Amino acid sequence: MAINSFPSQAGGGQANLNYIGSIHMETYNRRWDQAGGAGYYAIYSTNQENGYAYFVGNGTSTGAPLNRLVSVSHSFTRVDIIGPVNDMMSLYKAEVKSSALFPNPFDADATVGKLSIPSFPSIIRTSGNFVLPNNALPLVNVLVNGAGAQGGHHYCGGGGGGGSVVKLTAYQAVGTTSITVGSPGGDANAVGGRTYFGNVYALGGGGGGHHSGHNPASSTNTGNSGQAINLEVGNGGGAGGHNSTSHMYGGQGTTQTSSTGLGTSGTPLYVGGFRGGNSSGSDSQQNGGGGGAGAGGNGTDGNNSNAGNGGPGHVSDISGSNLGYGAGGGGGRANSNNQNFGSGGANANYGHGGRGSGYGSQGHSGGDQGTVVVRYYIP
Amino acid sequence: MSKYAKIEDGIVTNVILCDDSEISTQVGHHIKVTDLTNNAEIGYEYVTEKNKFKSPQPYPSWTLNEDTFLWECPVEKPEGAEVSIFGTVIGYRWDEESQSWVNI
Repeated sequence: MAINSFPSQAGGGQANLNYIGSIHMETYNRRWDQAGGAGYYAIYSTNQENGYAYFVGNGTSTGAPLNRLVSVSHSFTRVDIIGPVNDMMSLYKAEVKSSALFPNPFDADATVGKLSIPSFPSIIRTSGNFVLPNNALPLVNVLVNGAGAQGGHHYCGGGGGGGSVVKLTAYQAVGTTSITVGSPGGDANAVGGRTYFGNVYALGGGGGGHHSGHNPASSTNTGNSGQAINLEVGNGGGAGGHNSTSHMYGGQGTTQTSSTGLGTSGTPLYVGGFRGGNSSGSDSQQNGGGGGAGAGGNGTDGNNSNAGNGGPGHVSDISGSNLGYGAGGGGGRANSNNQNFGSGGANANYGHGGRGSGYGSQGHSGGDQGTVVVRYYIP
Repeated sequence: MSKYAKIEDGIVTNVILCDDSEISTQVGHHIKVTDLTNNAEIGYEYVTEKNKFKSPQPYPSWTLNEDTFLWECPVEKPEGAEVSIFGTVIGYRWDEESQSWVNI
């Protein structure tokens, strides 16, 4: 007889669970010829011991620990149970009522959500621990931004890349979470530090290139020089231009995945992986450096007339204000003992790359450090 | 706030900013970056017995100064504007093929 035909038993079971029946564990492994349809089931040990059960169907089985409600998506003809000898095992089926979605109060972009539960931002710029207030909900929104890198310290240097951005929504956080804030990286062949929230991290930006001998660091750099080092960078630095009469390539950013920093909790969203601008001119003196890539886009190319512009940063209001994270730095260009620069990427508030040098290896700047922003909710 | 390098198997795997009092909250082995240790970047080597960081070799012909742990070129560099390659200040571009400094 299938379970679906069983009525609820008066006086037995637990709240919302319909009692089906029990067996005695005469041995540690018992086969119970009990059929049932798809649904939510639980097998409880009377002595609350550990064990395991299989709901065996026609070609499909579902395994489940004892004392836990599980979803069985198929019909079954028997239940095989492994548990302590002499224990009693009881089978229950849950009666499921209908329900509906309500607006997610943890959605960083949902106006309804923000109004429904008071929330508070914590902007963290040094390594340590984030401690969730005791009266806060155990779910937080998080933005993680890697550190930016320096622009190329050389004539016509490339702009530094900005740090990448990782966003988590309704991430389960309880008590203390370790924070690591990335330090700004150097220029060519260097990369900004990674920033961590627990095990989730965002990559730092790549340093701006010097010249033909020192390309920006990159995971997939195909530039002209053997000096480039294969490092993972969130957003690539721009190529350096001086002393280069051939096309120089900006660094390529890395696209992070669940296995490279994002994890799977909190619906991770990655923003970054962009490319630094090339140095495409042919004038060995005035060939402008490329702009560094930002978390919001590629850097533009430098040429004989102009240095490249940095890519934009990613804008988020998680802190309570619209701020930009991970913009790229502008490239530099030397021009008859003068210098001019490409524009830094828009929205450069945190984690941005530095500007490349112009004439005389002057005018470059460093990148910004990493940042973590946590928005928590106190009803 | 100080700069620290995270060391794994003798290699710098991250560079971070941390108050000295909070470095114990960080997982892994961290070394404080100071003037005495040389600068540290991701990918640099850390030599424990010297307590110094060593950058990758910039060019095949350059040799390591065992005292400073900085790379030195085979030809003395000319005076000029300062730029930095892997922490080594130069004023000219080194041309490995001709084994000479090229005025930039």
